[in-house]
Amino acid sequence: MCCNTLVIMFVYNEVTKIGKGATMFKKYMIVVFILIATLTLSITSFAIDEDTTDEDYVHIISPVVGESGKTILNDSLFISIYVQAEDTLLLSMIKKEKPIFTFEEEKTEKAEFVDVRPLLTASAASTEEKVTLAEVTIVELSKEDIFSAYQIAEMDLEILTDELEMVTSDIVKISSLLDESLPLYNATYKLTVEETESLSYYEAVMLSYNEAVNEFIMWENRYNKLFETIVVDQEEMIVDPAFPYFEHTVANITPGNYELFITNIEGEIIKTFAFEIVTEDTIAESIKEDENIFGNIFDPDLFE
Amino acid sequence: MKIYSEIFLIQIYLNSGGDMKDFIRSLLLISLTISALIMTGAVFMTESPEIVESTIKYDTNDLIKLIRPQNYVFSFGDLFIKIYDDSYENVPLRSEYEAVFKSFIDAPLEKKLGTSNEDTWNEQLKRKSMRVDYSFDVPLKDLLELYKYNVELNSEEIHISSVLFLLNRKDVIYIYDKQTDKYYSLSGSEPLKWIDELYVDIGQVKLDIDTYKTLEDRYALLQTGLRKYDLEQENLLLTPMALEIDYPKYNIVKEIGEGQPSNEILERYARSIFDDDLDFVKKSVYSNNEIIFIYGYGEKVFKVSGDGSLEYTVKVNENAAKEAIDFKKGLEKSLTQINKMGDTSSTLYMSGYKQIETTNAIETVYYFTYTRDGIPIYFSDMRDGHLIEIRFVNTELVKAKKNIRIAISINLVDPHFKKDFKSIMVKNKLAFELGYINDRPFTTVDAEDLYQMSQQEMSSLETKYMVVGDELIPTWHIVIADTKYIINLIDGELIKDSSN
Repeated sequence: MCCNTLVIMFVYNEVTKIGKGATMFKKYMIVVFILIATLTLSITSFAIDEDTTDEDYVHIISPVVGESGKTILNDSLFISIYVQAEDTLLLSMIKKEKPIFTFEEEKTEKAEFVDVRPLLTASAASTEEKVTLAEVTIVELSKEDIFSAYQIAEMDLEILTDELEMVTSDIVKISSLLDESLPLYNATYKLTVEETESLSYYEAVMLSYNEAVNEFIMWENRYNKLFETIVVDQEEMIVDPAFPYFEHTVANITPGNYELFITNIEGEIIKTFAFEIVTEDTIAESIKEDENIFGNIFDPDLFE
Repeated sequence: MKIYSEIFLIQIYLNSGGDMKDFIRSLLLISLTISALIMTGAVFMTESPEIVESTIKYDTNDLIKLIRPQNYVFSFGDLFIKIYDDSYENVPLRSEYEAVFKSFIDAPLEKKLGTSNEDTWNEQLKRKSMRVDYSFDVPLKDLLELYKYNVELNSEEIHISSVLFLLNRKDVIYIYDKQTDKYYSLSGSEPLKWIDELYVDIGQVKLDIDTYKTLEDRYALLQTGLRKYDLEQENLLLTPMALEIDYPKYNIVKEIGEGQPSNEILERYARSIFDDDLDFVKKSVYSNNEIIFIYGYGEKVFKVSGDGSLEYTVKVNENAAKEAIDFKKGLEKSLTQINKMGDTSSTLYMSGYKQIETTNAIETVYYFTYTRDGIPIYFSDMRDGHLIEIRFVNTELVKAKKNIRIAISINLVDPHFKKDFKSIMVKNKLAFELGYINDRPFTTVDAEDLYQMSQQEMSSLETKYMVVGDELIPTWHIVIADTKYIINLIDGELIKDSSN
């Protein structure tokens, strides 16, 4: 607003000079012009002000971890977060356990499932109904089912990756003839039937590959979730605006890897924070090997 | 003598003109005059009853018991355990601490007193350590003398307000003197006994309700809410981490009972205070339930007030030499006097000490209080909240005032609101904001940041049991900027303090 005032003053002075010799109509138009200019500037100013909002700010104060992402075990884990946000935020935390399955035996056993996803020919690509495990209606899967599905998805992906590599190398030559940017480009080149089939097959494999990637990611997530324990389940982060600090204590915490998520109501992740809780003995041993390993939060003298 | 009497009588008879009536009248008049002279002489010649102070000789241990720490703080790096009691979950905290202290003092090498600073102190606080806080600034020399430690410390008068022991460094302890706001280090050789065992024991039995974190560790105000003010000083005040601040309250009665105390009780107190000598004691009862016993011409007065307080005063000797009473002697006399004024709780301890010099005298005051579950008791009707006040002018006791309550039953209270530290504080947000503005009228802090700034300027938070009517209520005594606040931990509301 102060800028507006200066502008107005300047314009007024200048206009006054002009207006001294002007007719009444011209003076009237000058006044209208000044008014419009002032209003425009004011509106712009407010508009700019409205656009300049403080961005949402979330700062995880505790737990405090060293450079290695580790913190010492206490009876409880104290979480403190500074929250400046318009929307409601939710706090979740999971503990990641180490997998307990043995892979070798089951991998061999599941090799036969490779045939579940047959390689698609170009002609079959469009007509054959694709059936994946993900499309099957599953009410509830056991850990073993999920593990199997994950393994299958992994293998399918491996197979399709190899296939895609092979098909890609086959059509490189064709692509170079059709790509304008490449030196071998031939605008008049006419594809043979085999070449056309190869291109179609490539597209089909690419499609299958993308699907396999998605399935793999899905099953990988489900598989990883088998080893995740929910420690904090979408706790609403309610704070007083005068003191926007959210606190939560997790009792009876145990050593392990944890991940903290802050999400909004729509499930979008605002912030994540992964850390490991270790016992003092673990730290003491590690510090003996490398004094700097735990960075700033641990004083090696403590363990002398 | 007989002849002179006869001559005197014959002379009176002759002067009365031989009339028997006149003779008898004259004789009576003379007798009365002589009697009056004798009795007047008797009044002026008789000495007042001598004020004799009887002081019982106490065992040093009885006196040492009175100099107990207010609290013990164990640092586990990022969290702290703060304990008010002398014993904690069967760990004999106080005796272990005193044994460690003694061991350090007794260690072979000569002790060297050096200066330290606040930064070092704050840095050491974060290390694995035990800090012991006293409720008053204990003169170090007197404390060492009381413990009969033979240590020569060539230095100015130092007081112990807090003493810090590091777990991993045994050859030095750190001392903070609040009276002068100075820090010291006391170096020696490694003692035979240290805090290792105690530290481990406490670590194993620590309870959630006793867990604390520093304000800055908890909220990182300097990096978050107050970041735009570019503050540098971290607030290391310990704040309770318990999810539920849960202390019971107690129903209490006056020491001398409710209503008008019986004559039997009054006489018992009076006999004790006047050393069984009630011959020169006069009792007066006033309409406001005040009962006063005056000894002699007011040399000693014992007053029982309607508010339950007992007060004993002695006339000041105007001709006494200007001399401060010796710390130990004053403590002995104080304990003697307290024991005369009723039963004494085993939790009694010295909670304050002041010495003020005027033109003609040195006034020394010893304060005492009791504890409940290890937590000190605070009574706003008494000066600075102490339950007992013993005052000396020079070396003579001039006043002893006691206002005690006896707990008769416990009330476990169901919480009806969220009772963690943050919730309780935010509940009184407006009062803190207004208080802050009042203390810092020229502050440039934005209105929306006032509460956070008030938290940043919180300098003290102590738990105390407070006498409120006929209840003993758990409270927090908080200092923010220049104002003291008392929060009732039962309902989270502020209480007005009338002690000052």
